[in-house]
Amino acid sequence: MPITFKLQTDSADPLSKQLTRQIELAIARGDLSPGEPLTSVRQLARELQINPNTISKAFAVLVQACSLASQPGKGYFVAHTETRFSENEIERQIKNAAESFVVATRPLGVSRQRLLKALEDLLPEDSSRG
Amino acid sequence: MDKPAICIENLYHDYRGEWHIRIPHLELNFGTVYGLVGRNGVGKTSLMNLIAGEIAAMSGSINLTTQHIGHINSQTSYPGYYRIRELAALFIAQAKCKQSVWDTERFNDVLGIFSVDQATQYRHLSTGEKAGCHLAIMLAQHPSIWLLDEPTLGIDVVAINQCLSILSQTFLDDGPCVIFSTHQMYELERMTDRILVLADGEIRWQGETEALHEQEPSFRKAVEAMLQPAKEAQA
Repeated sequence: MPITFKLQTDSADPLSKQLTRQIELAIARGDLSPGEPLTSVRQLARELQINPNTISKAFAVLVQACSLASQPGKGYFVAHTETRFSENEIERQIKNAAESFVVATRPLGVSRQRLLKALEDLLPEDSSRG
Repeated sequence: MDKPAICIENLYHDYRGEWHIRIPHLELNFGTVYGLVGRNGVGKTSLMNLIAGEIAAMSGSINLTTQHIGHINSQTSYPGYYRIRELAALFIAQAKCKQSVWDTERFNDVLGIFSVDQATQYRHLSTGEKAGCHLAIMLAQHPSIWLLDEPTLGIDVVAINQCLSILSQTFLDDGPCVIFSTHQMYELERMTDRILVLADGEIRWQGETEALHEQEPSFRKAVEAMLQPAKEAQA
C-alpha cells in the first residue's frame, strides 16, 4: 500500500479518528482502489507504534461505513463501490436521510426553494449511479 | 476480549500515614492496555506491587484469574557480570525445571530490535538496551498480565519507539491485561485503551483514552486537569 499515515498526538482528534479520516481521504483521492488490501493491523501497529486496538477500531468504523470490507483471515480491503449497497438499500437510506432533513427543517418555516438550494449547494456535481 | 484478569475489591493500604490507596472496586480485562497516571508518590508503583503480590494489602482483596504475571519497574535488575546469553541459558534451564514458558525466538527477536549483542555483560548495557533486555525477558515468558511501571524512563527517543513497537505487536499476539504507568502523554495516547487516574489515593477517573478528547481537545491538558488536587478544582 503506497500511502503513509501521519498520526499526531495531542491534536484535536483522537488517533482512531485521524486514521479513519486519512483512509477515507486516500480512498476518495484514488490512492486506494476498490478491492485493494490495506496494510494489516499488525504491520500498521509496528510502523505507527500504537495500540493495535486503536487500528482495529478505525477499521471497524470504516467497515460499518461500508468503506472497507473485511475478509476473516485475509484482512481488510477497500470496498467495491458497486457492491457496497443494493438498490433497495440505497432507496431506503435516501428516504431515511430525506425524512430526517424534512423533520429537522420543518420548524424553521422557510421556503421549499431555500431548502432545495441548501441541498444543491452541498451535493457534488456528478453522482455516479443515478 | 472482555474477560476479567484482575478483580480488586475494597482494597485499602497505607504507609505510615504518608499515603494511602483506597479502591472499592476495580475490574481489569484481558486484551486491554490500561494507562495508570498520577502525580509522583501517589502510589502507582505500590498499586502494581500490590497486584504483583509483592506486598500484602492491609485489607480488601485482589483476585487474579491467572498466575502468569510479568512485572517491570525501576528495581528490575539482573546480575551484572552475566552475559545476556548466560542469563538466557539460566532462564531456559529454569523453564525446563518448572515446566514454564520460555520463547527463545521471541527473546532473540526483541533483543535484535534493540540491537543488543548477547555477548555483552548486563552491567555494560546502556539504559535503553537494559530496557530492551527487561522486555525481552518478560515477553519471552508470555505472561498474561503485564505490569509495566514506567518502563521507558530515561531511555532515548529511538529506544522508546522500539519499545512501543514491540509492545504493540506482542500485545496483539498474546492479548494480555496490561497496566502501563508513565508520565509521557505521547506514550499514553498511543498505547492505552483506557486510563486510570490515581489521585489522593483513589481512582478519580477511569474511561476510554479517546473519550478524554470529549473533555478537552488537547490530550495533555485533559490529563493535567484530571491530576489537579480536588481542592484546587473546587476553588
